[in-house]
Amino acid sequence: MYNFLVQSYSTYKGLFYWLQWMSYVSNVVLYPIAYILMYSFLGRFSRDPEASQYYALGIAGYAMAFIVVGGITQSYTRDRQLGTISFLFASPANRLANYLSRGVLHYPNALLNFGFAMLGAWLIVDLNFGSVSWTGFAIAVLVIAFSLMAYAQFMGVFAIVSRNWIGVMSVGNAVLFILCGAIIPITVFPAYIGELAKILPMTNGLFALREAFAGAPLSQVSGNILREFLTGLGYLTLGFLGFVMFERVAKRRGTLELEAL
Amino acid sequence: MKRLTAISAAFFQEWKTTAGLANYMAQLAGILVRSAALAWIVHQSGDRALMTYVYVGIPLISIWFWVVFQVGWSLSNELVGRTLDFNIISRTPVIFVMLGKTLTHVAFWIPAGIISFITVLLVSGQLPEMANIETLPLSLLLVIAGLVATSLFFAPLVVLVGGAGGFFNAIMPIGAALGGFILPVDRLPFGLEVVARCFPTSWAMESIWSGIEGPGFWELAMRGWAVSIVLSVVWLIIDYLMCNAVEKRIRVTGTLGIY
Repeated sequence: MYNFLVQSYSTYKGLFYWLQWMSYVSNVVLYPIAYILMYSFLGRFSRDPEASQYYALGIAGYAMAFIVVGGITQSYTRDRQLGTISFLFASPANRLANYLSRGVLHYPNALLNFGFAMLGAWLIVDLNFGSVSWTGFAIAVLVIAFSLMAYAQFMGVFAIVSRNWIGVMSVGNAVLFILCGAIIPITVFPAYIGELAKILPMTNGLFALREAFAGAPLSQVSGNILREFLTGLGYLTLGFLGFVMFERVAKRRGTLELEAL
Repeated sequence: MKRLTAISAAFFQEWKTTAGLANYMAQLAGILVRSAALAWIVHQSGDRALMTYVYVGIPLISIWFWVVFQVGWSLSNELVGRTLDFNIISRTPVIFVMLGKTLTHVAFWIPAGIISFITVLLVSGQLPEMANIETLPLSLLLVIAGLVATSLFFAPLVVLVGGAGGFFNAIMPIGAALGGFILPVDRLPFGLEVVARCFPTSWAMESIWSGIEGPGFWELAMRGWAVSIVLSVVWLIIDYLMCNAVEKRIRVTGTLGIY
């Protein structure tokens, strides 16, 4: 357990470059509020308060994706670029523990981003929390953050072979933003794209989040929450398999220092 | 004339070192989804005037996002890459070099703005309608000029405060909102409107709004153009002073290698 915590702390402190206070405030506090201003405010003026509420919850979910995917993908890229991952590969350390430890301290950042997005929505577009079913709402937020962390770990496998993690983050977040129902409802897309969207993180969670916000009890949203959790587990598993495969390929070819993308 | 030579040299130097195709395509993914989402939101309104305004604003948002990011880091990259040394040796003020670099990034990201506009057309399925389209070219030119003046501010700022990674992630959307690209700034809450009025782009966008709406547009458009030009000059003066501060810090304190 101690090793796990040390690995969590060291990957977070050493490889997450947004920890400097100016960057942290910019990304965790100001970024979600700015996006609420961009999307929800436009929604309120172009349609109605209910539309801005829909967009506000979607943007709050996306804000979680931004900080988690950005934080974890840059950690993976820097781990290879700075040469620190070679120490892991040379050691008998438990790969699963190391893999899981990388996302632990990024998880609270997702919750903070969500919180500041909700604060911004309350201040800017007068988001009304009067009918929220808090139990289901809170659980939905926690599970969405987990599945996004898992998705970020999965994207980390691509970031580790990339020279520029920003490109990986941009593509990963773009897919979520357009297909998960954050702004554009997935019912707008053809049926097969809608089904594809349901295997992405955040899609099922946003359904549950919006229903809980409108007052639906936990029993009504638990199905979507469970689907979201299982989606996260799936990405976590795929990401771990990719992480292990990367080590094997890098060792066999001796190409640890070379970027593939 | 020599200043123009310095600006053009900086333009071509920055163009050669700007990110390649793979990164450009990755950034385009973010641009496309943001454009599609904003177009979707405003398309639901059915308000033709607002739709036209936002459809013009969305490509400008795309340009603003990446110009401010790239320009903001350009001076810091020169410092880290040890090429600022040669800049300091020459007699050319840093501001002219930075102006050339800023123009590079504007030129580099204009195609992304065009692609963004095409995305908007595909999502909305209709062309923007403007009552007085003759105001558009000058208004757009002044928006770009204002964008250059305001984005240039961040280059010396990052060096002076020692900006770290992720510094611009909030500045990009805040600038898009307060720059008048999303909504006419008179629709923002009062406090935000006051801040937005300090940006030249918000006044140039107001000229576009007056051109969309129709009657009485010339007076409003010319007011917007005049204030936009004045504010752009003010911001350029601020940029000049900031760049001088960077040069002074380096020349007087001898801190070329550190912040």
